[in-house]
Parts: sequence; structure tokens; C-alpha cells
Amino acid sequence: MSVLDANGLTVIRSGTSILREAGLSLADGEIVGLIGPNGAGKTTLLRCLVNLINPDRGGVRVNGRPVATLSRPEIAREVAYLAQNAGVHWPMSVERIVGLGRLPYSSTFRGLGRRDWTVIERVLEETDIVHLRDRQAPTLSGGERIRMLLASALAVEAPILLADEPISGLDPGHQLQIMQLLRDLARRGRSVVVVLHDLTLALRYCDRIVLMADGRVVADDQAAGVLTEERLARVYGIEAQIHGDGGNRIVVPIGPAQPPARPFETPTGKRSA
Amino acid sequence: MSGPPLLADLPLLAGLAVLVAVLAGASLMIGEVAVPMSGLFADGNSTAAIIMQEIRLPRVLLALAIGGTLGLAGAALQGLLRNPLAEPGIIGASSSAALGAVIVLYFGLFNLFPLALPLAAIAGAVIAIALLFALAGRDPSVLTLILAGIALSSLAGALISLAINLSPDALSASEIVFWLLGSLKDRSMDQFFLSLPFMAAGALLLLTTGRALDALTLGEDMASTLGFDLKRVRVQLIAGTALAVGPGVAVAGVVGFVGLVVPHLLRPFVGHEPRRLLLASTFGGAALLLAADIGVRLIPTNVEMKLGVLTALVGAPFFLFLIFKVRRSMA
Repeated sequence: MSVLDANGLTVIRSGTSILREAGLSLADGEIVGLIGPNGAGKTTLLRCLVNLINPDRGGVRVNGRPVATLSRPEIAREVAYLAQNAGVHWPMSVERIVGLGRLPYSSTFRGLGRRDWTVIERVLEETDIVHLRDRQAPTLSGGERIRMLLASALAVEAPILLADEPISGLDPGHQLQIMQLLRDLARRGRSVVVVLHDLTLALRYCDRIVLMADGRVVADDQAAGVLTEERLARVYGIEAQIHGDGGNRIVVPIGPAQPPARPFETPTGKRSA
Repeated sequence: MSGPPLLADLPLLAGLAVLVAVLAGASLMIGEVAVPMSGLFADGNSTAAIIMQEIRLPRVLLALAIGGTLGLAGAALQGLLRNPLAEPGIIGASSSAALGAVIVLYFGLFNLFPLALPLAAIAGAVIAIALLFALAGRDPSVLTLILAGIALSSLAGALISLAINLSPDALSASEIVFWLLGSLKDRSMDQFFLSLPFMAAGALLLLTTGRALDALTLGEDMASTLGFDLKRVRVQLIAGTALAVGPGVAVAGVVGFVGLVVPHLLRPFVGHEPRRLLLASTFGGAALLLAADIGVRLIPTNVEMKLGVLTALVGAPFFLFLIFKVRRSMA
């Protein structure tokens, strides 16, 4: 059953269409990789899904209910969101920042309880930042900071997790660890949408890949079905080779596509890139 | 580590409460004549009773209330704007509240309707904070905030100057000027009771924004997705700050920098957490203003120094120091 459903999302800002009829559905226990070139509309789509942006057309349903009719606390308990480049404005300790993920369950007169600390301990371990727990958040390196923010998002324990580029800036070891963690979450029944630029990891870890270009979803299928050398040339403008099979496929970019990529053809036949 | 947030800070809050109590006691004992503390509870028209109950007690209570609300408002604004330089005075809320009050004084509305004074000050503060937010609210950079604050303060200052300029006689002009400098001298219990309900309502609004301020540590998007309706939070904070700060300005004039200094000093003691900072800054603000009000009476000057002058003399250099510090950390 689908826990998240978005249809015909169109977002126009200052006369520019950022999203054009984009849609996405997410099933229970599924991990979906959202990929596409810079400026394709991935972040805007994600922001629509969690109602940070009101689309000009189209709508989003969470568990069958229109997201626009849900209150902020209701959305918070259903959908956790990890923003791209989220900053930390005060030098709070890492464990306290992670604890912010428990805010949807707190109240003005109640702080973190025993259950909250159990969750915090677990996500600190899952993201491999136990040793950093007492550090001041702004002193972390880029990769450590992303893991901390992911830990906060995990601490929400929402059935749906939307993560915007959670592995950019991580070393290969931590990239694998975080992708494995996201896939394990999905295996345990949560639904994950993860924005990625690493196509090999997208192939390896995601059940499905949604490829965006120019504000549209241009492919949405089983991971291996979406990533073809022809599509990579068309959407990313690169010549790439895909080696191996099954879970061991790797994508190797060789160089700019030859001949240079034609502007992306939209389904209506209009040129838009 | 766990349990109610208050519990973690109990030692700090208790310490601050003791400090406030000691300073309040000292403030009651200081004056041109020695009066026994028993005057506070004495009945009738004895000199001791009058001095204690009608001169010194309102001074102490107003220092508590105004200092507390200034400290709280500073901590809350800093949390909302994610900027350690935000403060009711610096962002122009205090001078705009003063403008509201000056208009009431100027047109003599005060005589018709005593509540006009605090209400006009609250209105002035609401307008200033709403404007500031429109100008600089979504951008936590230091520069925009300070520039917007300067613009608002200058505008309010210009209009106040106009009122002084056009005032019919020298006496009412100097009255406005001296009132603006900020003082708790010769205030009455009536003034305290008139402003208390507004301040209490404002403080309540501010204190209950703590969770949202914690969430805002991660920025506006993350705060929204953690379950906070930021539009509501902003309205609550703007209204809360105006209600908390406006009546204080109406009674005591402009007393600046308390909301800047206190949260900064206390932040390390509460793990830099915005929510925990709120109550601590309330206590801290009360202590600081009591201390400053003792200071103006102990510093041997010919005329008693104005409270707002002392807090500015100490606060402005502190502000400069903070700018240096913040600039370095943001560079």
C-alpha cells in the first residue's frame, strides 16, 4: 500500500517552472532513490512532499490524507525530513541536537524522557557518532555534521523518511554505512526517499529509482531499468558505462556525451533545456 | 539528563533566585535615609512605612518585572532570529515603544485614560518588531538585523525628537527627555500594577515558545518539519515581546542592553539550548536590573545617574565586543 502519493505537482516561481507535473508514490518498506542533474527539481519535490512548499497545481497525500489538510505536528509524526545543507545555529552538544528529533513527542513542560533517550542512544550508534555526543555541533566536520543531522531525522521515528543528499560529503566508508542503514530501515518497514548523486550507490541500495530532469520525472522504475547508458547521456549529458550485474552494477562516467547531448525532449515534444 | 527541562537547571535557577532575593533586599535597604526592613510590613503613616512601601518597594518590584521581561525578551528574540545580537533595544522595539508612550504624553491622552500609556508603548513595539521581521526575519545574518534595527531606532528617534522640538514649553520637553533616559526613581505601586498583567501575559507567550526555538536551531525548514507552525510562532513571539517590553518602557523609559548581556552570559550554563535559556534569562535579567538600579544610587554623582544611562554605558561596549566575537565566528 502506498504511504505517500504525489500527483501532478507543478511549482512556478517568478515565471519559471521548477516542477512540471511531477509525481511520486512511495510504498511501505520501500527505499526510493531520487536522482537527476543539479536544478532538476529534486529538492523542490521533496519540499512539496512535506508541505514546505505549496504546489501551484497537484497534491500530496500522506496515508491517503491530503498533506495540506494536516497540521504541522501531524505531518511531523508521519514524515521526517533531512534538509540539504541544514545548519546548526547554536553550539549545542551533538546529543542535544539529535534529541531535537524527539520534539514532535515533547511538550512545553516535559523534556526528554527515558524512551526518548533510548531512541537517541540507538540513532547515535546507527550513525556512528557516539564518540562525538558531547562535542559542540558547530565544531564537527562536514561529514560528521550530516551524520548528526541524519541522526536527528532518524530520532523522529516517523514511518516516512525524506533525506536530501545525506551522503554528499561523506567518505566512502560512511557513504556505504549510511546507505546500508537507510536500506535496513526500509527492510524494517519504513519508507525512504533519498536524494543521491552517486549512481552506483543508487543502483545498489535502492528498490526503485526516480530520475528527474528539468522539473519532470522522466523515469520511475526498478533501479536497473532506469539507469541505462542512453538515458545517462540524454539527462546528464555524459557518456557512462554500466558494468556488472545484479547488486554489483557500477556506473562509470567516462566523459561528456558524444555527440553533445541534445536538449532534453519533453513528452509534449517541446524543447525545454 | 532526563525528566522535565526545569529539573536540569534547578541549581542554576535556584542560584539566580537567591541572587535576585539578595539584590532585592539590598535595593530595599539603600537610600538617603536608613530605614529598617520592618517598615515594609508596618502599618499606617510612619515615615518608615511610607518610604518602604511607597518609594522603595515599587522600585524593587519594577526592577524585577522590567529586568525579567527584558532578559526573557532578549533570549526569545535571539532564538527566533538565531542571532546573538538581537535585543529589544538594538532592534528598535524599545525606542518604538517609547515613541508610542511619547505620543500619549504629548497629546495628554494619559490624563484621560491611564492605560493609554502602556497600550501605546505595546503598539509601538508591535509595529517595530513586525517591521523588523519583514526586513530581516528570514535571514539570520548579523548585518541585515543590525541595519534594520538602526533604521527603526532612527525613525522612532526622529519622531521623538520632533515631539520634543514641537513641545510647547521647555518643561515638558525636558520631562520627555529625562523620562527617555530611563529610571525607576519615584515610580508608584499603581504603575507596577497597571503594567504587571501585560508583562505577565507577554512573558507567558514567550516562555511557551521554547520548543519551537529549540527546533529553530536547525533552521526554518527543519523546525517546520519537526512540527512547528512558524507563522504562529512568529506572531506569538512578536506579540509576546511587545507585551513584555512595552509596558516597561512606558513606566521606566528606555533601558537598553539587558536583553543582550544576560542571555549571552547565561547561555554556556544551559548548554546553549534556547528553551532552557528563557527562564534563566528571566531570572538573570531581574538580577542585572536590580544590580544596575543599586549601582545608580551608589555611584557618587551630583544628580542620581539614570538607569538607562548606566546600562548603556556598560552594555554598548559589551555589544561591540559581541560584534567582534560573532564576526570572527561567522567569517
